[in-house]
Amino acid sequence: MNIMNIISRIYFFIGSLVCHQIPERTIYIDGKPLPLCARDTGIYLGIFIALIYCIVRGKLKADKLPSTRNGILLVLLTVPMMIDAVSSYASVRQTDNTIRLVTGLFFGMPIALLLIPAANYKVYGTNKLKVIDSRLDLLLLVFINVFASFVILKFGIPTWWLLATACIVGLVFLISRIAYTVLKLLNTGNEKTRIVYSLIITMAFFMILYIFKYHMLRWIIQN
Amino acid sequence: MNSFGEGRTVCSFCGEDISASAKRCPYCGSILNRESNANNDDIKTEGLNRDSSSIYNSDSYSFGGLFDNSINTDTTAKDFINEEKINEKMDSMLENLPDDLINDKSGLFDEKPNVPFEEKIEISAKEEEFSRNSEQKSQEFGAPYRPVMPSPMQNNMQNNMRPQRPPLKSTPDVGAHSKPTMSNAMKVFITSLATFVPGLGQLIGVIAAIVFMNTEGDTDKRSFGLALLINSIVIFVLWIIACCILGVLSSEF
Repeated sequence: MNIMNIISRIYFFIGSLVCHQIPERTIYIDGKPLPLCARDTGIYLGIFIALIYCIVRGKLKADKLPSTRNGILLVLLTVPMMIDAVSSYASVRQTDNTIRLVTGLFFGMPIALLLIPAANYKVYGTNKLKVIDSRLDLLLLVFINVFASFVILKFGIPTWWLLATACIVGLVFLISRIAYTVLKLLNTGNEKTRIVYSLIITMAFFMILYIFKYHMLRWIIQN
Repeated sequence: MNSFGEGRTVCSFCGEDISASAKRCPYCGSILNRESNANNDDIKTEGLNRDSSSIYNSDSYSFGGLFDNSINTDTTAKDFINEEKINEKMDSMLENLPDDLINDKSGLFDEKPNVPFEEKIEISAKEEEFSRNSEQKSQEFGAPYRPVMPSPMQNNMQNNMRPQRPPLKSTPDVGAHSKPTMSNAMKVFITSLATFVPGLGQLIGVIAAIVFMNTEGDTDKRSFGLALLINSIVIFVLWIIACCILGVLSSEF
């Protein structure tokens, strides 16, 4: 068993903790299914794209939320996925992997763009660095998301490894960033210890999910 | 006359023999001699009537936050306790005064005959300069101006009484301690909505959080907005995972 195979199995294991991994709802790259379903792939890929955007634009230390109008527009981007999910689960309409991926991308992106300044936000001071400067930035992000979904679905340019890694990084970033933000809100430790603690909390969260899914849920289904 | 140049009187509350200049009866704790301490009471009342508490710096102080209402002229245990608190704050404030003012104890007790008049004038001038500096600093903070009360030294020079406390300077408001502009009921309602209503509740929670966090100056709203944003996102993520688990259940069955 080579190292790539081990990493692949780890990806699938982490994916199985947060995703149903139903084959019909999963995107295949080069004949191999991704570790997450199409919707979850979209969500965590959207988070990853927003993270890369913040790193490239130097917004990782952003402490100011978008303006109220841009913020509302950002939040409204999450609505299509909710409508799609609710309507398909309620059997009102049929959906496909393309819609799942695109709506998921638009759902994940705002979450990351709100979480990044939330951790750096100063209640008693002045926040200067905006995570999104203008509506043009928002349009740019929307375009990047549409372009990414187009490239994935039509051309299959990114390799399985790139996509799977991006999704898992997005997932780990989401959980650890929430933990980091809560730790900062509780004023626990310094910058470095908070990062370490947040990664430990992320692992603990996955462990809880593992116990819940592979032990408790199995027991519930069997009984 | 005692060593402070004071006579004796009878406490109007308990009838015990006490010093005429005593502000508080040592036997029953009643607040006495209000007329001679009128300036002092004004100072306290001015500070106490403020809703918000205040910060202390080297040259300004306030007693805001100690009382909910203005000073009650009735003798109560509350007065007694707060008087002690005020004295403690006085001590801490006096520590920040210039050394020459602190070392010169003539301003705190009776007039000393051995202190030359020119020296007193010089000290008084220093006090005035100190007051002016304090005033300038308070205006830099943008705090409301309060008239400067006569200094302890000036009071002593005018009469042979126990000096009043140093004058109360302006105290800049600190938004962190200002009165909340949003009721707790509203906070509970929004938080409940953002927690228990799936999807729509979190959307409303995030939008409300963005609006609150973009509010300038209102730290109460900003603080609540941050907590609401994190709460809404956490619930959002948990709902997604819960939906996936539902997906697992549906696939298992």
